[in-house]
Amino acid sequence: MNTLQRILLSEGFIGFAFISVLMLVLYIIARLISARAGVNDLLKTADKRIVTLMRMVRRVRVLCTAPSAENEIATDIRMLKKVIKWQKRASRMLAAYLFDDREDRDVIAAKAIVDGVPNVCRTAIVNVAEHGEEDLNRKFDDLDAEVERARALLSKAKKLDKKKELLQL
Amino acid sequence: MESFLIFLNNYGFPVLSVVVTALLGRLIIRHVLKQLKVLLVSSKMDNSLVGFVLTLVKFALLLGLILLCLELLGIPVNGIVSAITAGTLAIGLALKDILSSLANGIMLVVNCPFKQGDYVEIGSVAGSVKELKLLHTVLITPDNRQVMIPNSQVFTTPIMNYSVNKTRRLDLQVDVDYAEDPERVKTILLEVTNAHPMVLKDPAPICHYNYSKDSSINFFVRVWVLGANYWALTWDLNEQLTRTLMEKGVNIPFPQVTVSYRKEEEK
Repeated sequence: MNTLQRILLSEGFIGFAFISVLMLVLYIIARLISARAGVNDLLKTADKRIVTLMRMVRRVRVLCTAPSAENEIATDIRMLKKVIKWQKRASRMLAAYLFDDREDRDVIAAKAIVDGVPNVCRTAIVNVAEHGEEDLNRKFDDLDAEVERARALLSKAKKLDKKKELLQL
Repeated sequence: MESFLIFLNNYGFPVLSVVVTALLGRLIIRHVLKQLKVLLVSSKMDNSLVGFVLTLVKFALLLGLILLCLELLGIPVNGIVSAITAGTLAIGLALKDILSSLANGIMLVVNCPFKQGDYVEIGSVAGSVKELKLLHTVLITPDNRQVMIPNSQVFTTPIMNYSVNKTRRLDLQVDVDYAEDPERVKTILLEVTNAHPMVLKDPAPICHYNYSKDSSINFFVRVWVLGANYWALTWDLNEQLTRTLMEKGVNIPFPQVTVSYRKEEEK
């Protein structure tokens, strides 16, 4: 048995290899869970969730502005639930970001916009249910613009963060 | 060669294992804390409490990691734990105040007497709660000074929280001359308070004759106001009441003393 074989078969090396593999596996699992939960880059995750949120809002818009909108109230409500779910998901990320950086006005403003999205959808659905005369297309256009502004604010906050990181180096 | 292999087996690999464990362990803890933070923030828990819980969990995990590293180095952890247990009395006596603050901090987290941003009065210090840390609570006074109060003191002192209820009662006192008609004064005071936009209609403002002073009769005015408007209304209403009384010719007296001299022959 040569020296290398003796080292590889030694009790110390086996223990080391076992511990290393175990810790590596645990680390990979932790990282995977973090990546899945989107906690590594909170602003990026929030932005992604806002995109999904807007996809849901667009579906609500299609339902509310369709000629047979009054017959689709049940579907509208189902979609509204999805809107609320994604708004909460996006808002959660922004709240976690604000926990570390409470003074970031851009993110605070973006969060306020995102938090207001379900309300607009709710009002639109109520309007449809009550045969209201409100111009829903204009309302949803305004909402689109507002959410785009929120996304722009988030990207601005991201850039500022990068600048801060560079200054710290 | 043989001695090198023995050294490697006994010390080299365990040290490497400890290095790997410490490095990856730190990273794992960081990921766990990130997820825990998002979880806690999205719950209804107050931010100051989230910080407290995160610090507590971080310390617990780091302690676990250190014990694991010691175990890998072959240092008997049981022995250390026993030693710590045996030394608890001594440590407890030495760190009595610190441990008391820590325990009281946990009690504060459980009881939640205030949340971040609440305006509180703890003992002789009043200010907005900035943070609840492991050992102390941080307040920011209205003139922007930072005060750190040990949690042991916070827990044992009566806490006055001004932000729990939305509304507060504002008590004002007005003095007028003895020559004035009390009913007329009451009517004027109620007119002014009822007309003020910050005064809440329910419960309705009240005004009563209070007591007689040396040079004046005293009225109290009680109004309800939103907590956020308390000071604005105090200053504004005080000013308006005084101005209106003066405009309506109500005399607001000041303390007067009448001194009479008797001549020598009169005695």
